Amino acid sequence: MIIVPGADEMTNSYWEGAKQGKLLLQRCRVCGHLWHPPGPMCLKCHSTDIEWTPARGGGTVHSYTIVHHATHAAMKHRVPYLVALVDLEEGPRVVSNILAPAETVRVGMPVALTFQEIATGVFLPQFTTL
Amino acid sequence: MYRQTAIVGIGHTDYSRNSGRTELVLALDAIIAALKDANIAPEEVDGIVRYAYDNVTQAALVRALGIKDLRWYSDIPFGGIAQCGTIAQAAAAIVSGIAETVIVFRSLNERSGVRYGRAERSIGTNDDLVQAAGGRIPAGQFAGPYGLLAPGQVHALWARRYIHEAGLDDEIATSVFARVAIDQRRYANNNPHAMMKSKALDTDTYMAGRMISEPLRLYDYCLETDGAAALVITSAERARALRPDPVYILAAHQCLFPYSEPLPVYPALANFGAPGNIRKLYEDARLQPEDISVAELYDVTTFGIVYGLETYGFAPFREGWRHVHEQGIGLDSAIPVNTHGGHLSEAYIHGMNHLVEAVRQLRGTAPNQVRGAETALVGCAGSSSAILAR
Repeated sequence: MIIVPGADEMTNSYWEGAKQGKLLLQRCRVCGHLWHPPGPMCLKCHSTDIEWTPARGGGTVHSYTIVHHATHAAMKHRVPYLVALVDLEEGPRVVSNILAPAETVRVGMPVALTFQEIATGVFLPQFTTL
Repeated sequence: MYRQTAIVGIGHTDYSRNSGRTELVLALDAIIAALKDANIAPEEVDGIVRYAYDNVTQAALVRALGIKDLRWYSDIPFGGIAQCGTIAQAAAAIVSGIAETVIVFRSLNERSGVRYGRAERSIGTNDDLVQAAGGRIPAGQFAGPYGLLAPGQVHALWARRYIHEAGLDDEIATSVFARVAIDQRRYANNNPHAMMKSKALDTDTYMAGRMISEPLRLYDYCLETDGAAALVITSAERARALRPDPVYILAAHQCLFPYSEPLPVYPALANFGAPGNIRKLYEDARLQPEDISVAELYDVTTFGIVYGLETYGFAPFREGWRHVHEQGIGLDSAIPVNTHGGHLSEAYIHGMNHLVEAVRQLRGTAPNQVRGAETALVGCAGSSSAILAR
């Protein structure tokens, strides 16, 4: 069993972008503010004139945890696994795994964007150590 | 709001792993007990505040209790952060004159029924591919596929960040978390209502607990409980006529900021929760942190207490760990915390049992009584809070 993202109207473009190897952020065409997760409106200037723009791919580990206790049947055979919060160099923060040995991961370390096909045609933005 | 309303009744069921009763029956048991405690007849109730997570509806309570004129009711969403929203809403309704006698309650078969530490409640198991949908943290589409599925894992992310920001090593951080778990267990060992009443916890046992989500171990995590708790709130004037020891509501609030609900990870993680406007909370209560006699803080994990001490001004920023390290949270510390044992060791009633304990403390009837307790702060990570007093 695999947990896949359930895209919706607001997030379809994000997950389509992942299939094409892009981590798409939303950017306000009026004030330039960038954000994630996707929303309907710029939360700085309230413009709805929004475009999608790919993240450059650099980030740093804001925090992480190594999960030993599975909390869903799909994770029963996946533990232990590492979940991280990654601060993108553009500013927004994303949840990710770090595709590297867990014991090498540290808060503040630089990481780079990659993509992982978790099921046929389903791609997740992921990060790996440099 | 200041001192215009008061809590006049508290009630709760036994706390267990398998109640064998429906959530409606548990709710009624707690509510009837609270009404008896207040010496108020069920038909006098004219307001109900419910956690939106609760399966028991206001309509079911009105039918069962024979309430003839319920004039006002509300639901509070987003899980445990509703905790003191119940107090804020009940007090607001009474002060405005919409209602006079309000029940707030929480009833859940959280151990034998739907377990909040599991993600199957939001992500099914009926296919090889199962979808994480919506924007929720944890378990929404930007979290679930990565395995961020349970609130306790978010606490682990917060704890790891805190350890980094406070410049701690894992050994000292672990000793701080252990101190919280052990101090709360000691309270529970002297609390006849606590699920962990007869189970001692020492450092060896704590360290032997398996790792759940690093850096947090088994005993850092809250219990899972079947049970219910309820309060009765009325006007201060009526409260004084009902009993000699009403517990007055000085201030209460609810708070949201973008992505703060139910558990924030972006972009203000550094605050570990929704810090709300704590300065205004204290202003409304006409008190300072040093005036608080006892605190009952929402504890998903032991880490909730470390940053909770900072959120509510009991310790300086990034010094909550030092406060715990140097003095713990027992009766001899500057601010006793979770004197019933909290979610870690009394029961997990989504914060309602913390409110019940605050009332016991201010009546002077708590099993672990803080001598001369005048004021109590109850709060869930700043996302909802209340200050109560004799």
